[in-house]
Order: sequence, then C-alpha cells, then structure tokens
Amino acid sequence: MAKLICGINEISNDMFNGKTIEDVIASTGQLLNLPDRSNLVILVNDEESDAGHVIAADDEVEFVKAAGEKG
Amino acid sequence: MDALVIIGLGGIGGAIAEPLCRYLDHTAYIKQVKLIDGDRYEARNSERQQAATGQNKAEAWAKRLSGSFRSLTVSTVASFITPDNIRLYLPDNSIVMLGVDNHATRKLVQEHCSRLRNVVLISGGNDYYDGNVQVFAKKNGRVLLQPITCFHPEIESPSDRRPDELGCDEELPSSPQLLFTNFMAASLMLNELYLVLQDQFQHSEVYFDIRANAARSLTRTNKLTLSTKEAQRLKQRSSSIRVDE
Repeated sequence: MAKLICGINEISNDMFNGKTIEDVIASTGQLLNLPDRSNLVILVNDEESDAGHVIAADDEVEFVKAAGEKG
Repeated sequence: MDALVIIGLGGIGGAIAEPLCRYLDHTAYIKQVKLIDGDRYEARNSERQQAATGQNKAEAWAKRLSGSFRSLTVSTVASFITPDNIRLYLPDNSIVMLGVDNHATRKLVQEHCSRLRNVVLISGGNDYYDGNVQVFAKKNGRVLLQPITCFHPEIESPSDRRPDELGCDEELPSSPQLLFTNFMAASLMLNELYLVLQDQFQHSEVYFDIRANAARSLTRTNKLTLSTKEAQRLKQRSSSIRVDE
C-alpha cells in the first residue's frame, strides 16, 4: 500500500497506486498540510523525485516539510 | 567527543542548557560545555525566557550553570558565530546543539561541520506550533547522517541573514513563538543527543506538532549516496576555502 508523508502526517491507501504524485496532491494536499508548491521537495523511497512520478503499490512518498526557522 | 557546544541560548537553547548539564554532570561522556550567543535579553523575551534585560544570553546561562554542576567546565562566547570565528569555537570532536533563529547560521554551521572528521550536529527550529530537529553525524571522516541542508532548500539557500550580517539599526524579523513549542524542540533534541551518546545514529530528522501532540522521526536510507554528492560539492567549494583537517 502506497504511503504519503508530510511532517507528522501520513496517509496510506491503495487508491494512490497508478496515479501521479500531481494527481494525489490535489486530493490529499489539505489532509497532509502540504507546504507551498513552489518550493516543494518530493522524495520517493528516499530518492528525490517530481510530481510526474507514477506511484507504485509499495512507494513511500515524502513531501519534505520546511525546517522550523525560529528558536 | 571532547566538548559539547550550544549555539543559541534563546527559547530552545535555554531549555536545553540546564537538563543537558545535569545529565552530563552525572555521566562520564563530556565535561566541557561551551555556550555561544551574541544576543542580549530584551523585555519581549520575558514570556519565554528568564533573565535580566540587557544581559548577554550565553553569559547569563553560564553563571547559572557553573555554580550548579561542579564536574563541568562551562565556558562562554558572548558573540555570534561567524565565518571568521567558527573554526576557533567549533573544533573537531564536538557535539553541537544548534538552537538559532535563522537558516543562514544553520547553513554556516553545517558547512563547517562537514569539513570536520568527528562531529555531531543536532539542529532544532520551530514555527508557532510545529517544527523539526535534524541530525548530521560524521565519525572518522565517514558521514553517518546526511547534512541538514539536504532536501531543505530553505537552509541550503537561505533567504534570511546571520545576525552578524545585519547593520547596527537592523534586527532579524521577529515573530511570536510559543514557549511549549520551544520545549518540545528542546526535548526532541535532547532525545537525539541521548541516542548519539549511546552510539545510535538513527534519525535524520524528527518533525513535531504540539497541536497533535505528536512527533515523527525519519531515517532517510539513501544517506551514503547523498554523502558522496555532498562530499563532491564540498570538495569543489573547498578549492577556495582553507580546510582544517
């Protein structure tokens, strides 16, 4: 089952299989609390990828959340 | 490791300092603690930090800690970390706890740490409710956990500036912070330090959000490939930079 991750958020669903990352961003962006698209780093199984990647059944897709700035 | 260095003694660094020294005082790991911060307390800090307005943050903490933990040697650097002083204050065999409020300093510290042979860098940052902790580790010249700039363009190409780059009449943009978010970042950084002291280099990054009262740790498995890329990048850069080995 493919898994989408952003920060502390995670969604796993068979329905992601065969869809592009671009497709699933539209349906899950709010649930995952995705950051601004202009600067979005996408990892698929820990390798840098892009929104055109077609998701396979065992893929782990991470949308890298920006680091906290303050301290 | 010879020394533990805390850079930034604000909301996160200040929350780290006391429990960290208490732990080190009762264990045999490290006895040298260095506190670095060029900032002074302002009245607006009082909602999250305790000290007299106008006092240097590193000096105020050193005064508090030195009397309490007799087995530790606590030293201070009452200035910001800069390209000119970083080699002096962050030698090889250091563990760095980085709790600053700008990505430009995170980048500077990471680039310096990448040139050392034995170093651990634990960096924490937060926004109002959420944040993250990143861990970079290098042992005998081998990268165990990837640099904190990896996959983080906001650190690799920061849009902000270090405090030492600001003019006399400028200051870093201030945004409200929540004390409890600082505490959670500090607590997760201390957890990572504990693992590192047990020789466990597990997590590249930990995200947290206090609204969910949740944290998620990530171990990105392509670190060896990334380390090679990072090494090549640094090698290209080092042609114009003197490197301490």
